[in-house]
Amino acid sequence: MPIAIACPAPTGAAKGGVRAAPALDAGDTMEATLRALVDATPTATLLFDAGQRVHYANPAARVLARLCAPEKGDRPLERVADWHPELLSTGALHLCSLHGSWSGEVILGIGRGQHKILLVHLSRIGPERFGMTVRDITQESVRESELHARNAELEVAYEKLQGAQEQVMQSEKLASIGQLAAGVAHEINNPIGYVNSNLSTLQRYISQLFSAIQSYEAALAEGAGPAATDAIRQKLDLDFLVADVPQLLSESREGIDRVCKIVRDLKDFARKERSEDWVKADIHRGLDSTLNIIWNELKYKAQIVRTFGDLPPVECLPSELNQVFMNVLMNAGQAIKDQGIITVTTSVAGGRVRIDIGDDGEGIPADVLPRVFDPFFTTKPVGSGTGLGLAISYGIVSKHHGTIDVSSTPGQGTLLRIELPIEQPR
Amino acid sequence: MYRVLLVDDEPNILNALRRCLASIDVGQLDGEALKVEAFTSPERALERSEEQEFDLVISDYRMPGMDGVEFLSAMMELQPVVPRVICSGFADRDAIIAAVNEVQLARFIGKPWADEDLAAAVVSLLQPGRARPRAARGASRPPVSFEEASAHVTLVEQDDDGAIVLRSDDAE
Repeated sequence: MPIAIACPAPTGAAKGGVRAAPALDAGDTMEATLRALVDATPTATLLFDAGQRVHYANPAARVLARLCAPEKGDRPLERVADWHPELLSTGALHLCSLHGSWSGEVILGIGRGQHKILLVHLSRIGPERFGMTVRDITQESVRESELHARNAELEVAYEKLQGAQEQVMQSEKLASIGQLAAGVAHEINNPIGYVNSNLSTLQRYISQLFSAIQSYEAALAEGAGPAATDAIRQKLDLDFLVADVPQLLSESREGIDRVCKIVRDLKDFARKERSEDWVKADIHRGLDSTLNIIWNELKYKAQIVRTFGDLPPVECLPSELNQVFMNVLMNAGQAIKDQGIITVTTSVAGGRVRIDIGDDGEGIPADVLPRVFDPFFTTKPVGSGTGLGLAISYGIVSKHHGTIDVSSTPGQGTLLRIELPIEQPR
Repeated sequence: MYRVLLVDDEPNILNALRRCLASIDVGQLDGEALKVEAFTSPERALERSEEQEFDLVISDYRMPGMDGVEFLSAMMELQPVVPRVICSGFADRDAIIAAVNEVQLARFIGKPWADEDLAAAVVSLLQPGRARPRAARGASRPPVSFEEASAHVTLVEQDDDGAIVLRSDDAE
């Protein structure tokens, strides 16, 4: 079947810029319909032979011709290379002959340093016959590369924000440790105080013992009797010394153990872990180490009642959760004016663990309650709170796909309820 | 005999302080013995102070129930002239300042302390060789103020630095 050829008439041509097609065979409505379809399609479509002679171009191709050489007016468009020398590479044509089709992006220089990006599709549609569709994607490409650039910028900004957030969290953690520092210093200075003093005492005791040994040796040399040794015993107070040394040593040992424990708790608590270190951890251990540290601060005003249920290991970021516990416990302690009780209760239900931290302190007024998780919201005097504690806690709990809720009755106390899934959703 | 009252919620501190005080040579105290009473509860120490006069009181600052300043304030009511010392590891500067101002501390000794410094402070505050305020008044008599006791002070001495040294009645 002969292929209908419509060579483009560059200017002043008939409607659509395309020579009218030869009359169709009567009844060949399918071909007419297809022809109408190709004529109507907005994508530039060319038909050419192996010699690259153009046999047909649809009206949309006129746009392509103008696009290929905007400054050239009328010119022959008999061959594909006449449209633009780079429009059809021999390589592409060869591949198309080989595989039946070829698609690719073609970049055309159009003068003045400008270029167009075209999406070209070639198909072999018969012996020595090729079809070509060309779509101008310059705009899309520009938009796409703009999007890429924007995306890259956003990624950089996101990384910066993440860094900043990590810094804020770390400095908030340090700030809360700073608040604890005075209490911890006191707690360390006490045992160090008596261990240090006991060592001085021990030094005295030892020199007393040495003089006792010397005195005994002298008495022995003189062949003195029990009366003389008794006198030495009494003079140097050896009985007291012998009784006191074991006590002194065990007290000092206890002091050193206490310091070690405080340091261990601090290390446990302040350990900086990378944000992807999700582990299955014992929530009670985190609560205990946090309570131990904060106990230094709380013991002068609060009793702590722990009611721990039977919890499975929970997939979490333990040191971040410790920070939540500390923020909440510090608030509980600060809510207690004189003497009070802080309750820490854990339980498990329906794939989630629940940690309730309650106090019988002054409570939170109803108008303040909705704002307690807002960043920088604080009712504490300037310098004693960052206003970030609960905001960061909220963020950490959300990251764990958990919830943190507060309920409070002014004058009666406050309850913070933290619920965490045992397993993180995949 | 000199009586020293120790208060600290930490028994190990009390024992260490006792040992330290036991190292003071009685020769430095004019041959007077040192009797130490130690309490872990400030309330109990106050109860005891209602019946017993002391020559020196050394208290911790941070204690459950009552802090050192509260305790020493109450102690001031009971025994106004007793020298007051706080021995604490509490590092809060404001608290130290408040302590010095509110209860007119004779000394603030930090924890950890050096035994020889503490011993020297105790010896100097007990002022052996000087008149002992406690000796100046009978057990049942209210404390006598300096003005009452020395309404007609005529003896004025200056020390090596030129400061005026006031001595109570039987000092020479």
